[in-house]
Amino acid sequence: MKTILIIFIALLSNFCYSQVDVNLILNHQYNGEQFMYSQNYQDENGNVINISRLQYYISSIELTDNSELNIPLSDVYVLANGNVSNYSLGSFDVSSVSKLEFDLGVDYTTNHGNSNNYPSDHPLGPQSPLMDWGWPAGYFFLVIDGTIDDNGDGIPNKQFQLRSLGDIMLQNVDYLNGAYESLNNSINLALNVNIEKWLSGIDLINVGIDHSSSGNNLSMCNNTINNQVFQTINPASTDYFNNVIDITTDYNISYAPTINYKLNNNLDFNLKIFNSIGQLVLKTDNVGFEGNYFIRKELKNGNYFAVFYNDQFNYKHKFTVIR
Amino acid sequence: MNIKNFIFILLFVTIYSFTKIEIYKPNHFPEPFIPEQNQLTEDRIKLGKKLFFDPILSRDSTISCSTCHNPRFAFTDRKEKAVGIKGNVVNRNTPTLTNVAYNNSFMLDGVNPSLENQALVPFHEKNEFDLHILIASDRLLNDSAYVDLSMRAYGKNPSPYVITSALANFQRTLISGNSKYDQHINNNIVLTESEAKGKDLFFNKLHCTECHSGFNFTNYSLTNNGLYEFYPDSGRIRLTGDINDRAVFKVPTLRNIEVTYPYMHDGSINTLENVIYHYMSGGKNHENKHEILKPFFLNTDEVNSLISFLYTLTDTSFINQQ
Repeated sequence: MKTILIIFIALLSNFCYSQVDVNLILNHQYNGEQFMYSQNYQDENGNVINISRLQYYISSIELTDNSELNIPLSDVYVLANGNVSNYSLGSFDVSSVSKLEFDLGVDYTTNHGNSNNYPSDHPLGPQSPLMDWGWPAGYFFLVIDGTIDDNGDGIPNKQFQLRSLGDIMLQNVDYLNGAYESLNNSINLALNVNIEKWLSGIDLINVGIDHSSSGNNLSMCNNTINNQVFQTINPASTDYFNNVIDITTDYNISYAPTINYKLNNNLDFNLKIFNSIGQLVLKTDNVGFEGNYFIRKELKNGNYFAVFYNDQFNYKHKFTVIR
Repeated sequence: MNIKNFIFILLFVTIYSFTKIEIYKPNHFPEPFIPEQNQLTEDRIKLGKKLFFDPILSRDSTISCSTCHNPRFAFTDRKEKAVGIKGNVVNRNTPTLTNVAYNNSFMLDGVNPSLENQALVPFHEKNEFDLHILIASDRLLNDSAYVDLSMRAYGKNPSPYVITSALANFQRTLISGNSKYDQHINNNIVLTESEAKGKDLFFNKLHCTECHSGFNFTNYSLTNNGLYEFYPDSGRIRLTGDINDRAVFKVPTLRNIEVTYPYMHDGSINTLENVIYHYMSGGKNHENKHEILKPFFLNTDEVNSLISFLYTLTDTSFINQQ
């Protein structure tokens, strides 16, 4: 009798608290095309631009299920990157999702906390490139760095940096109604992220280096809601399964750059980095197929090669360190 | 040694290492705020001090915290603007660390909320250490002395948390309260005629204490002191977007002011005499200028007396400490 009771309680608790994996899929697009760091685009004024860095925080995520029950995903923070589509949010007791709501940025308390209190693999921990400005404690909520053609020669070589910081930048994205995909004990919250909408109305030629709460950064963050940067994808759509191969280097930390990579969907890769004379500098296994690899090492000046490889594929990417 | 004795000694060392200690402070100073998670201990202070003076934290290992925060100059550098690695110039004057444990905001525009947070700034500032905090902690992981001290101080290997916490811990011990002025109010040490006259001007005739008040000679507020009509450094507004925050900077302590020249957020005034002349002029017009700033007149003798009094705030035991 006792055993039966235990089994009954176990089954009941399993029934009541069935956990499913919840994934956020961010399909970064520019003017409807799959976004790549290595590709040039046009701004709304027809100027050629290249975006070298797109990063933003998503927090205070709340799901609404089909019975209108709100399910907050407490303490879940996502640091999204333009070349990364798939983010695991964890396992939650949810069976369906009819609405997704979140903040772009982080809440006041977190924003006034200390990134050093988090481990380096936590979205709020120390990042490279940096997501906390340092001078004021606080995170960049949204970063778009790049270059733009300012003289009509078609070459984007004038730098711009939009890095928004300050509590007033926080945006509540609460319009994402729709049926979200439920597959094999997981729920995929798939969204298109229309990057050009963030940049609408901003004169990128004259932005320069703008790390602040004011002007262009405020416009950019306000565009999140005003222009509906995020859009729910029809579950039947397969847009976000597009395969692109994109490997670029972020030199924000010049002596220890970050390699942004997006490779063949759902395959795992290993990474080796060689110097110009073929000596192995570092080797890391199982880096997945998309990510941002911070070379946590002080490299000397020179050319290097990052090689992503597995049984099927081998991709070589050259980068140069100038300290 | 038997196992019982070994465990006893281990326990003693562990308890001793993590036992919090009281901060040294003069009786006429209030208790400073010490975060619960970073209480002062001998080992934490020791680690913080070692880090503070060690150039290992800068990318090319040429400068340390103490390069700009030199104890001999009350933890400033006597430069108009701070200079980091490769001679790179920072765009602000180095603030003193005198009694920094009592500050409620950090950086000259008060945009940083804690000493622990502030400790990260020089690492990532390209014109200062220019060394990613994760790479800095990796360097310390390769140094057995740091690993040992870090374990004793925080029970962890060197990490960004340990580095910034230890630096903050050490800085909270930088208490200065033994100047001639302190001895005057505590032990009735007599001021000279000029110092006494300056004291009277400071506390009774002028409006200095409107901002430079209390035991630490600051009310910790942010204000504009009419230095310029147009500021190249707009300060706090960059973070808040609030026009009331344009070109407002923290009121600094006047303790050890004799040795912390040049003055102002940008180090633009070299002498105390010229600082006084600036305030005598009433300052330049600015939308956020403090309302108390109006032109006034002091004769040369009064200016000298005021300076004499300010010199009584010099704490030689503080600036000569090892």
